[in-house]
Amino acid sequence: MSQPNPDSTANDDLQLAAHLEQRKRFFSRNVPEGYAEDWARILEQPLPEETRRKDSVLEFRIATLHLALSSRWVKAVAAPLVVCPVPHRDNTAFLGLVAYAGEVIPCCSLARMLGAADSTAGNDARTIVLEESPGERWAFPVDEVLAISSGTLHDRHASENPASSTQLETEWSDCLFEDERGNKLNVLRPETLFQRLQRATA
Amino acid sequence: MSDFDDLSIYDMFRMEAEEQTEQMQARLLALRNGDTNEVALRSLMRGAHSLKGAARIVGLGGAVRLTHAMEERFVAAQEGQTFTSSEVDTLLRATDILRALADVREEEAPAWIATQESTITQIVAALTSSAIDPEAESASPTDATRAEPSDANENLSPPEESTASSEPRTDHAYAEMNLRITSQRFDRIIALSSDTLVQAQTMVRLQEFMQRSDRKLQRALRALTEIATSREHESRKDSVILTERLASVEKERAILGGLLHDFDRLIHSHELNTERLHREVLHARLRPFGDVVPNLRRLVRDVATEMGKQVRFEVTGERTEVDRDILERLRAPLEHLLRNSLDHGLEQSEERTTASKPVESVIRLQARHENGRLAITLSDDGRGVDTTAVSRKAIDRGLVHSSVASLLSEAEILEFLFLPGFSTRQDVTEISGRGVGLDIVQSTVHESGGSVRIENQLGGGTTFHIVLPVTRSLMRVMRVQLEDEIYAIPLNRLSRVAALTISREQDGSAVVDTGTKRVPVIPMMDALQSAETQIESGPATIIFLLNEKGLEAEIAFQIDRVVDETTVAVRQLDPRLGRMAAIAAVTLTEQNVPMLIVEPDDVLRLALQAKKRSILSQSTAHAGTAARGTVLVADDSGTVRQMLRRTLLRAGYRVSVAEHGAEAWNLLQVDAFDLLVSDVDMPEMNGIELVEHVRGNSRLSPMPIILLSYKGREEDRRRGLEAGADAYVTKGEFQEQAFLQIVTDLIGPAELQEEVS
Repeated sequence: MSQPNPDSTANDDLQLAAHLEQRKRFFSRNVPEGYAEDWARILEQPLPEETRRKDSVLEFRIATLHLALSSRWVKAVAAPLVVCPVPHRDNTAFLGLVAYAGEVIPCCSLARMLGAADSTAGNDARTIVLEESPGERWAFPVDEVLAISSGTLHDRHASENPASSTQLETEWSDCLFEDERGNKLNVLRPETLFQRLQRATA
Repeated sequence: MSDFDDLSIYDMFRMEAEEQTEQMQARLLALRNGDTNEVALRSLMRGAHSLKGAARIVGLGGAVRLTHAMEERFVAAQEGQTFTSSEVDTLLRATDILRALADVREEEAPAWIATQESTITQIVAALTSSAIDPEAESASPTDATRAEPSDANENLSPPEESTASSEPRTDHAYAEMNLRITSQRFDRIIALSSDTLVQAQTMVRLQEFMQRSDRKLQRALRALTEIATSREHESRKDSVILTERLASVEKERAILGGLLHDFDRLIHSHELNTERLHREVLHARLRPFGDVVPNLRRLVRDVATEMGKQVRFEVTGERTEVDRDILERLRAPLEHLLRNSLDHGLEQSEERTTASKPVESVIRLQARHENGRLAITLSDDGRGVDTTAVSRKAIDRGLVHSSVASLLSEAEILEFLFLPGFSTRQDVTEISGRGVGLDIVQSTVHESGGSVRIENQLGGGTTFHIVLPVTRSLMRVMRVQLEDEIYAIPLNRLSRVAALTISREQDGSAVVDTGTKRVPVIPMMDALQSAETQIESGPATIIFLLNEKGLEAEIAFQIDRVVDETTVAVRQLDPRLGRMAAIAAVTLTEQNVPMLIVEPDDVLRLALQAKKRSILSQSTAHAGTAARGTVLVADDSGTVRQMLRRTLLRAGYRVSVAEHGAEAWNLLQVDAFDLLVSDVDMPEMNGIELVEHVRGNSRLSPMPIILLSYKGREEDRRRGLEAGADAYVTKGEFQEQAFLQIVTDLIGPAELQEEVS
């Protein structure tokens, strides 16, 4: 173990004294002109958009999962479409091909991707047709389309976390949608959704 | 918003220049063959006039002067002043400039047209002087090609008489008015037309249902009237009321019946019209192969003239219908092949005379539909390819070791010609000889899902065979039910359908007796799914497919039932789906449901593999061994395939082979492999695409891949590795031990020696 150096201690004391003197001078100087007004202006600014923004979403249900997706990606909500299965591609999230408006579109099971039960062919079942970019369409069946609503999106870290699956929170959604009735739904992240659809189809 | 709304005025000018020059060139070539008529002259004059206006709008003075001179000359011709052949050449040169201008970007156009100023001045002078040349006026209007060229055009080298006179007319190339429409919009029209057809057919069914209801209503009313009449004695007053009410209902029913009758006529007429509309729309997607021919004739004529060769260019199958996208992609490869043939293939007159050949060479271009695909053959009667020289060049360039080269077949040696920069020519000409061309031909054809091969006869000529899909066209199919699904089988690959009895051989395998032989049979769904289900003995519906050579395949397929024969609109598979084993395309049924069209070649291949697997699994089960260290080798060269297979087998690995990328992809999906060794340049699906498919598939992506290629340039290597290959080996530098070391590094040493196929 090394012994303390008395010279070193003396130097440290001197430096501390100089620092305190500087700080004293800093706090005792006059406030610059317009300082308070600047702060008032900054504090008046609304919260950043990332934490609170308006959007229109499609609310739908797959098994027990209530989900939302920005309606800008939704091309159509169709009656259940007949799926044409493709050889060598069964037992995956890719269900097959469907026809919508004269086009042949890949159809995937979002339920299987999310680890939920497969959609049943109930009376409320629908097929959602998405358009990632012009001509690039995808379809997936859902058990029910609940509504198309306008409301507020909250980033997940800034809001109360409702009961939802962990996989959804960590992989599929980074914000919640609050509709006019106060209901909160996980909003699917479009990048993740399209990436998973591509992966399932290839 | 219109698809053309985003285009600038200059873009519109370019489109018009491209379209007008193409039509003008076709008409000018016909003119040169002596086909002078008023309709053609009026069209040429209007084309020049229209282009002049467009050039004025975009402010290209040089183009205005040029088109004005052309227009003036066409007007003079309309007034009786016929063309000399050199004048036609001058006009063709003018269209060349305008066509080239269509490829120049807007900001560069003024500078580009300035560089053409001297040529434009020369052409304008030639056309202006000839327009008042009394000698030209005296030429016979029906014999324009024999007229002497005027002095002003002497330096524009008249083409050879023989070339022009032998060319058939191609009226249909410009007989129709063109309407420009984007392919995206056209696809939307096709889709809407399909929907309308489906709706019309649904309405017919509804109408039939309504008529049935009407007949039931009539019967009910008759019964009620009889009851009312029979109860007359019970209450006269009630009976009268009932009869009156029934008469009122009957009257309304009669009106409804009349309306239904009118509706019936209307709906059937509507269905008929919708079907015709749909057929017309689908056919509009197709173009005659002859559309590309005028430019090719022009190329042959110009290059032959330049090289001083006498060439007859014969084209057959100009009316063969081809998808317009495919046709567009074909232009460049065909031009490359023709240049090669004219420059490399065809001999000069003296050489032909020495070889006892006619002085006039012949190039033949043929287009036809074959087995549901577009088959194009381009042949010449030239000197052919010296495969010894090709082999020597490949060895000199280090592409292949001499020991391997001596084992290669002629077809495999000819494959070297498709490598970038490969040419046996010592000199480089303007026409060809830089070794760029055949690799572009191959890659373009591969990109379109086709294949190209060479047939060679030293001293007798070379033939290129190009096979391309005829996508988005109509196809006759037989619809069959397999389990719960309906599939379409191309009718031209179907040999026959028969009701036969499935029986068992002594080894338990299922066969059908065709009367002349016993043929193995499997359920077609097993071939599609690569599954193995139990096939029941007894009566069954059996189909026989034709193989690639057009012969009945040595394996039969059981189906559940034949639905019908019909014509379907073929749609390309969505590229996002990647390669789908055994499926060629998709179509929509009348019920607006997708229906898959099977790929007969894949089905036959998968069926044979299934049989082999079945035999192998029996023997493996008997031996009680487990397979590890399994390698799939994909290479279209039989020699290379065998060399790799033997190398790997000797090292103790288990080996499967595939002849091209698509077959490899099929095998990868149905069997488990530890390593993929793939060639880069293969038909159907090349090695790079194969690697991308594997890396994009969650199950297969961890599998190591070695790419092998004759292409040894740094950019080729980088391209392979960037696609996801773990190693890139140049065939020219192939060393067995080094290769095996890479294999061992990637998957470890072999543990079992066994061959799969």
